[in-house]
Amino acid sequence: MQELILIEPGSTANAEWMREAKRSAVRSEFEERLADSSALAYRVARGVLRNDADAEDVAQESLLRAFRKFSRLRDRNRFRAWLVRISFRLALDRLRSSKRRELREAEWMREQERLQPGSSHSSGEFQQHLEGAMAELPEKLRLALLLSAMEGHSLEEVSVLLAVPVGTVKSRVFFARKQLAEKLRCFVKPTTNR
Amino acid sequence: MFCEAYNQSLKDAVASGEALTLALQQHLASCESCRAAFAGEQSLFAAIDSGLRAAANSEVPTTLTPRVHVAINNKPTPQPRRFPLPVWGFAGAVVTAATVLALLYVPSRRPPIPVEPPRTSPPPIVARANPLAPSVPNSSRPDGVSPLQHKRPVALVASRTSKSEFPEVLVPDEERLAFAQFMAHASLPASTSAKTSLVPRAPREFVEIVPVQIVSLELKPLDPKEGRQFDY
Repeated sequence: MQELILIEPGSTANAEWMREAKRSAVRSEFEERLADSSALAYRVARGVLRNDADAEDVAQESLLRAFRKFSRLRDRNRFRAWLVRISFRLALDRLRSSKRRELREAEWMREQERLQPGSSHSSGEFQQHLEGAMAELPEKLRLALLLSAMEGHSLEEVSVLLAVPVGTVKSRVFFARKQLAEKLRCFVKPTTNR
Repeated sequence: MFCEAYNQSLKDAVASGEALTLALQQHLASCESCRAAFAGEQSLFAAIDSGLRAAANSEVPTTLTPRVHVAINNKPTPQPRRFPLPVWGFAGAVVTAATVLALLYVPSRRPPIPVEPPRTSPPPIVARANPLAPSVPNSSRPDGVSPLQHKRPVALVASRTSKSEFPEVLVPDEERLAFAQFMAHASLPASTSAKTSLVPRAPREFVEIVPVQIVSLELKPLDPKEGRQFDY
C-alpha cells in the first residue's frame, strides 16, 4: 500500500529561516557583551594564573564556553557574573593541572628581575610575594579580593557578580587583606618597637 | 608594635580601611609607639592595595577579542536540544531499569549444581556399577539413598567408582527393563555414561523398517451407532 505524506511546501524553508534568524540574534547579542566582558574574563584568569599567555588562553576558552551556552542563560543580566565564575573555574583547573607551573614561575621571576631596574627591585619582589600570598588564599576570599581590586568595581558590583550580600563581600575582603598582611609583614620595613 | 589593649582594634581598623573611633584616635595621639606602628601598618596595606591593583588590572592583550571572534565564527552556533534534559533522564532510567531486570531474571547458563539427598541410613541395595570399583564402600561417605526419601522402592543403584566418570543412577523397579534397553541403545559420551552391572549392555541391533503396503482401500459408511458414542 502506498503511503502518502502531506508536506507543506514552504514550512521547511520557513523553519530553517527562523532558526537562522535566532542564531544570528544570539550571536549579535553575545558579541555586544563580548566587547565589555572580555577584559573581565582575562583579568580574573590573570589574577589566578599570574601568567599572561595562560590567562589569555583561559579567557578565550571561557568566552567560547559562554557563547556555546549563551542561549541557555535565562537571565541575561547575570552574564558577567556567569562569565566570572566560568573564567575563575577554568583558571583554577588550568592552575591545578599544569605540571610546568613552577618552571614558568621561575622563568617569569628571572625575566622580571632582569626587566626591573635596581631601584624598583624591592617593589618587584614584594609584588611576587603578594601574588604568591594571594594564591594561597581560599578561593572565595581570593575572588572577592580580586574583583574588588579591579577598577570600576564597587562592593555592590562585586556582590552582584558573586551573587552574595554586600556584607559578605566586605567580610571576605577584610579577611583576605588581613591574611595577606600577616604573610607580607616581614617583607616591609620593620616599625619601631615599643 | 601596638599596645596590647589596642593591638587588635588598630589592626582591624587599618585592614578594614574605616575611620578610627574616638578612643583609638585619643590613644594614637598619646602613644608614640602605637602611632609609629599604625603608620607602618598603613604603609603595609598601601603596598598590598597597590600590588593588588597592579595584579587585578593587568592590561588586556589586544589579540584576545579578535581571537574570540574568529573562534566564534569558526564554530557552529549551538543548536537547542531536540529533547529536554528530563526526557533524556527518563530514558536513561528506563534503560537502566531494563538492564537490571534482565540481569536479574535471565537464567544463568551455568549448569545446576547437583544436590545429593542427605544419607541418613544405610543403602538398601547397592549394586556395583563398575566391576572394577572396590566393593567396600567408603565408610566416611556411604553410598546409597534412604528409601524413606523416595516413594518408589529403589531397585538399582549404580554406584560410581569415580565421582566425575560414573554418576549414580536410581531406577525404580518397573522401569528397570526400559532403562536397561535405553542404556543398551543410548550412545552417550564416555565421560557421562553410566555403567550398570545388572543388565549387560546388549549389542546394538539395527531394526529394519518395512514400508506398509496397502493393496486396496474399501470405503464404508460410518455406523450411526458408533458415531453416537462420541456424540457428547
